[in-house]
Amino acid sequence: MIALSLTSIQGVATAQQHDQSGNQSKIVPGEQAPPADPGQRNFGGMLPATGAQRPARRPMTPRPEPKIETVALEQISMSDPYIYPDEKSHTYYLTGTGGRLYKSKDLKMWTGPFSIIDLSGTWMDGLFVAAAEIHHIGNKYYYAGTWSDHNHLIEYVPLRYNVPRNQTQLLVADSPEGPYKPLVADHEFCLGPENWDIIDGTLYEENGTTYMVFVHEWTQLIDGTMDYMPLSKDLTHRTAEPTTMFRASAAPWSKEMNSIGEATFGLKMPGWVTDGPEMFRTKTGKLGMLWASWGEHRYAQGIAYSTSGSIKGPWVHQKEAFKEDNSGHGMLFTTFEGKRLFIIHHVEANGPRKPQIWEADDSGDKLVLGKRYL
Amino acid sequence: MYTLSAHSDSIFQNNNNITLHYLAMKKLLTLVMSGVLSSAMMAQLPETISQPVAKKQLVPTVTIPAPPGSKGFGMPQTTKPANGKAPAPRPMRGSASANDPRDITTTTLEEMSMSDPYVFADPATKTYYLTGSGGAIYKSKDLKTWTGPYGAYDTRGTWMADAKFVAAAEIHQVNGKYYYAASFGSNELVDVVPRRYNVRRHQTMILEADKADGPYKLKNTNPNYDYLPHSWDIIDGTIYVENGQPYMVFVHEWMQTFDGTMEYVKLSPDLSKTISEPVMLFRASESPCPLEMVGNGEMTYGLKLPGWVTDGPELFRTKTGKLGMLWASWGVKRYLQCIAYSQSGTIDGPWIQEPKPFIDNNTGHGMFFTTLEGKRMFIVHHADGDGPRKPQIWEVDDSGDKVVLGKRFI
Repeated sequence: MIALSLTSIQGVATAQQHDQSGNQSKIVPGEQAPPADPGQRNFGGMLPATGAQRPARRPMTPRPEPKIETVALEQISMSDPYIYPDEKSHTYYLTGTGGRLYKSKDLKMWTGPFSIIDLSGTWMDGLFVAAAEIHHIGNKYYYAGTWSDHNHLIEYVPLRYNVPRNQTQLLVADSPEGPYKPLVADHEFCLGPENWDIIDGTLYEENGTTYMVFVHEWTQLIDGTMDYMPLSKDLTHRTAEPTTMFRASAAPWSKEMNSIGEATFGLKMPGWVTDGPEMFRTKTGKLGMLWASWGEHRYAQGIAYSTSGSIKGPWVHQKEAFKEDNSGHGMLFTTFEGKRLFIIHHVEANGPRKPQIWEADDSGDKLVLGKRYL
Repeated sequence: MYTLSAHSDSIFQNNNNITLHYLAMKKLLTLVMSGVLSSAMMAQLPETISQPVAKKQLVPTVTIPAPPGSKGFGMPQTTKPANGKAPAPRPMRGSASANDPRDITTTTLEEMSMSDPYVFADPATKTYYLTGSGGAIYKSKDLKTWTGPYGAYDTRGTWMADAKFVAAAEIHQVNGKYYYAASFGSNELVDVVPRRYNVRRHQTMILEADKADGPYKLKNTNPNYDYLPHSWDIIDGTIYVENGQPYMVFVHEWMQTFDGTMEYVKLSPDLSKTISEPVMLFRASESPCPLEMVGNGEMTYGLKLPGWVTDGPELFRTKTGKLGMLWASWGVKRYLQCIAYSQSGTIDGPWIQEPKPFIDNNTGHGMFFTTLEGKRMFIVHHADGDGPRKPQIWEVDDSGDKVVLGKRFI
């Protein structure tokens, strides 16, 4: 696009979407992809297929804090579960979509949900958070979560989608229990390119550089990608523009959404999904990435391995999904006893998404799924 | 392109790792304008500027090869013909220049191989002109025997002079002038879609002549003119006039956009330049006829490119005044011919896709024409297996609101 020369815009009458100061004016929503058939399988709620937007957000009345309880893992419903085992306090911390925190000493009984973030003074204040994660880097704790502002469109993809602002952002705290506050105080700050629809970012360190590995959404791109961007030492900004690692369609188990009858937000949107990147190394030093998409049996967990052993890839996909049957967006963690475990969410029929913990063997070059642990 | 927003940081300007995500390309134009030029400055630009803004070197991306033995468009043909003879080499003419010497012969239509055939019936000379991919012109008085190939254009001194690719040529008569619309390609890399495709320059260009034989020449005074943004992969543009306003209706290729689109721009009265921003009419995936290419086992130029194809728009009106568009894609029986009708009767649609192909079985990229005797006909190309693409002519009935395919004519 930098290749775009003046010659190519000659003859174009006006730049209607921009004012004279060069600021981008409001994106005008338009007709979206065709609506789902009645009763069709559908991820997420229904959105109007016309130019109308989601109903305006409810006025923010402080909702009562949920009651803190101690419950078994089976009683918790949560998408995109993530566990951070804190050596210091010998406590497992569980978070995910919704962004609240649960604590446990034994992985079985969990106390929560605790509110641990303070977003006042930023565009994210009061917005829903997805795919939250906790990382310990240096002597700080970082909370990576994805915020979505449906009242701030970043692009209209004609006859397809009104793309809302989606960004994975970093919060910081001195304790794993928070309170986590924005790493960059600027109200409008975005860590990724502002007009990219970015979700599910995770942190990964290689040779002293911390990278954010994230999803550039298929709703904007049709074929979703996995990308990385290097971050500054203090993680406050990216130091280079993102690099694409792979596209969803490159994996044999990831299927085109319309071809498997999956509608999204009530729309028949064609394309291939990338979700939930999580980096890991096997005991033999191989670099792998867990990531999720939709396949023959709905939501699915896949793995790609880096042939070079570095984030730069090339990334080679496993032929088969690691786990399917409407399960995905999982991650690996190590118990205080040194056992490798895999936490993932699973959906039974039309039920809620519920976390499950499985054993995983990472002693060889490839991760092998073991038996159900919890 | 994202870095060219008002918030772009200069530290990124020299980074070669910028990923070029295609879908924001549509906004590119305006982003560049916002980042580099204010609209007030734009208004003062003379019409024929040729110096480019500072241009970044594009780094070609890795592409994903097709598995051995795949079927697909533009692939090396591995199957042998039944008669044991070596398959006829595909004609890959790089040029249909009127300045090149040619051997002119007369053959029957059945003997010809041609993709994307287009017939223009010229009342002035009472002659049928046939052109298509390759770009050369054949002439006939009866549609059965054809004399050619004649050179069509003189592009010396323009970027098209060294074109390696001339596809889907058409001849139109507008306001007494003859116009030749064809897609020209060069090896210039104009965009990179990471891990998918290195996009070369492809533009549908409109050339002008005083008679149907040509030679057709670029009317625009800028020899490096592009009708659409330079970095867009544009093919199969056709000319359509509505209420006195000429339009180019074109394909923005799926290889760059994944889900190919059909779009239009308004043209100046002499068709020499574009005078509006592109407007999208529909995406390939909206029609039930096309299937996703990789899922359907169709490879493209030996690459595993997922997505949905738009090809060959051709506008027509039925006798009852309904506005329709023929266009082509790939589906259950390989190449096929789709039709969409405009609900409003104008180019702005909405365009409603017919649920079934107009013709399929590896047949498509056709157009309607009227014989000098007033009979409506449909010319289309068909391929038997991996054989060459050959033109066929069919009768059609356009007396109702929807065109009905008749019997084979030639």
